[in-house]
Amino acid sequence: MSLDVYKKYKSVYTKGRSYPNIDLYQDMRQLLKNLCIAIYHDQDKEYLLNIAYAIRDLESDESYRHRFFSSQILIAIEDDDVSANIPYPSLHRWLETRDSSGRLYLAESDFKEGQVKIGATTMGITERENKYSHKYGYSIDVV
Amino acid sequence: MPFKLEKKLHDFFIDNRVSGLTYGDSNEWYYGELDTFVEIAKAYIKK
Repeated sequence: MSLDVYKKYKSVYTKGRSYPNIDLYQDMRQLLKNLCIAIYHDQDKEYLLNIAYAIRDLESDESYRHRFFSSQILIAIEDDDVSANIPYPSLHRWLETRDSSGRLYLAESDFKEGQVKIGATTMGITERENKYSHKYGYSIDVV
Repeated sequence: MPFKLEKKLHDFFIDNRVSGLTYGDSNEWYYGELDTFVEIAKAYIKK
């Protein structure tokens, strides 16, 4: 089973939210994000390794207590056994540019009384409603 | 840029987020009145 770098990113992201003023966590999060995007774009091994070396260098900082994964990442890249399963919402946000198209929407559901969904999609609104219903088993109404 | 705007709104309403859901889950829901969300969304769009 390949090493999912997005899981590493998510781990650091969660940790970093507890320590927003510690730059190391934010720097590590950015490097892991860059690595995820590079994997998504099928960059070559050398490109991936350069990011992984930067992760290793950052990890060697004594004040950084979140260790152990740079060696896993390096081995996985060397073995061509690395992946980045970036969730749909994150992927679109990460790759979004000023020229990207899409829609911001708010939705309600009879099954979620008193709650509102905030979403963004590249799909048409009806298609998004249908996909949501198919995935979660209840309908939403984009308002 | 709708996805970056979506993230800003998620952050704005983070205290309203339904327990157990985290960002990146496409099934996030937030407690509150629709009118409030519309008003804040419009304000962010105008920025």
